Amino acid sequence: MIHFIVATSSESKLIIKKLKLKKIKPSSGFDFFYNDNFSITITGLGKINSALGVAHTFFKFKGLSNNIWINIGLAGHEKEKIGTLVLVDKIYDYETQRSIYPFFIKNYKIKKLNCTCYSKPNFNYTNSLSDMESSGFFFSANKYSTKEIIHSLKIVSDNKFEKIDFNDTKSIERIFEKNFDQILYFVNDIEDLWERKFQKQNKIKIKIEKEIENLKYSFSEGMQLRNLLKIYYNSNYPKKIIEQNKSTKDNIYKIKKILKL
Amino acid sequence: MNFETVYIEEDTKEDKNTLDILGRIKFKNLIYCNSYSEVFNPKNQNFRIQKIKPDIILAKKKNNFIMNTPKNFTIGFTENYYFSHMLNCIYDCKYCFLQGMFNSANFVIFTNYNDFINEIIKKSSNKNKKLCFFSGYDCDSLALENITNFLKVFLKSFEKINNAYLEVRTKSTKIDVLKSIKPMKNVIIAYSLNPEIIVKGFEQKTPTLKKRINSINSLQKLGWQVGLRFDPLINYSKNKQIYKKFFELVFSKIQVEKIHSVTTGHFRMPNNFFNKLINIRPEDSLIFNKLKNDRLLECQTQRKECEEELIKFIDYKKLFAN
Ligand code: SF4
Repeated sequence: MIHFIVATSSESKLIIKKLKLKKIKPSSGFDFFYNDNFSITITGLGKINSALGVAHTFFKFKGLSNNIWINIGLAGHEKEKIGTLVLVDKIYDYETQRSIYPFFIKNYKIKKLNCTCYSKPNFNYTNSLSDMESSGFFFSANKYSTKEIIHSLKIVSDNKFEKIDFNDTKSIERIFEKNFDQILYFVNDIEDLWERKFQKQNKIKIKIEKEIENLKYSFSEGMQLRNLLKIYYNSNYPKKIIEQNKSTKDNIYKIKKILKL
Repeated sequence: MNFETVYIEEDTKEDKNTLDILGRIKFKNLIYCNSYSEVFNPKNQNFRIQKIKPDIILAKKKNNFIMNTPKNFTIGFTENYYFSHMLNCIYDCKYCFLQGMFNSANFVIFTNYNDFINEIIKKSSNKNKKLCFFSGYDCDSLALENITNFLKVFLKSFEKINNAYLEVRTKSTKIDVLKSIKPMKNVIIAYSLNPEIIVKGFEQKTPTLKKRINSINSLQKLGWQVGLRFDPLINYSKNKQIYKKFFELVFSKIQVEKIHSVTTGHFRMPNNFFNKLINIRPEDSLIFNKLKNDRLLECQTQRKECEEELIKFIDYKKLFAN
């Protein structure tokens, strides 16, 4: 699943519309929208809200590790044109002075820049983007997913010459609209990587849990059984193996015999 | 070689070796960092994904330049050390312990080559005995030489240390650097070899056995000392016939009398590395579990059987089990 994390409702509108996301009744102080493949969470401004929003989203959507996390939001920059889409290649947290480095598997036709994350609005523009969410977002998402499928995309909203009207939802929607195809192309590409690297294992995990749900086992037997089943299904044995009418010990013995372990 | 991103530690960006490396590679994006560990060490990175297209990190090693080898690890010297001017490798051997040890598959190059030499000089001075330094513990020593120029710089100084020997462990056949300098008595180029069927099954992206043997031949002709490393032996007991033919082939193609040393080793990996390996290469988990079981049950027997085979070709004094 792909989780979008945005700070404000205006930043979410176009994505909700384009991806036809449904609202989940407000809970835990965040607004969630979703369909089978995507979710978007409106977290409120600031890195703490963003981090909390990621954590709540994780648990709201079954707590599955290694989902895709995308932070989209507005950011300032010294001289980049309003409406420019940017991929963040280094996030520097101004307060903690810690840095994070997203990983890109290929070259996208999207400009890349550093982003400094502040706890308060910053209008002392530099050649680094400035925002208020990216570090909280990334640190939190990286607890639940590997960093290669976590990214922050920024759209320049203000520079030292001009700024958009942050209260004008329509103009925010317009700059999102202008970049939407590129954003979706990027996200689809990350999804493609996710499918290649994680989907099979996620399916195996779900299959295993379903197969053993009615068995009785101790903690260590459960570990051993899961490990063996993981090896079994990864070794291209297609058939179900667990016999529900047999004990966990017997099932473990049987799998070991088949795998010659 | 092309890289998406080059990371450079702030305090190494002016160094000559760093600038030289930048001149030898193509890259799209350059990012400065305070320490390579900010990029390389954080948890929750995926080694396999990064391995598809690793980035490169240019850094300065600050300490622990030279480490003691594990006890009994030797090619005939009593005092043994290892060091790595690089972390990670362009090859992708299934059994490689680096993927269990590191969180990231990015290449780290420590560009302060002279600091390694200075440490080696310190360790070697005022000692009567010969010391051996193993290069390529955390990488392949030669595979990225066209970018690092490490050996080119390093060997010039190493030659002058009389009581120090250097093992350059590799599977690489890019031997241009060794062709361009005079062979040195205190340097052993050590080739890791396995039967071609094992190379195909386990040593992804590495040169074929034939190419490695050709390189050994070229190096021997030039006058370099060469060592053979049959390490790791994969399922030796089950593949005994394959290994028998393989040893016959290897020793028939090279100048046996000029071989410096032969070592054997088995698939070995600490449990925590092993568990990580299974996690990131789940499709190979059955093979790894079998290898692990073999290691526990048959290690001693395999070693004996293998040695018996090898002493048909080589003086047992040159044979070491590591
Ligand atoms: S050549 Fe050595 S360092 Fe490189 S991948 Fe293979 S085992 Fe690892």
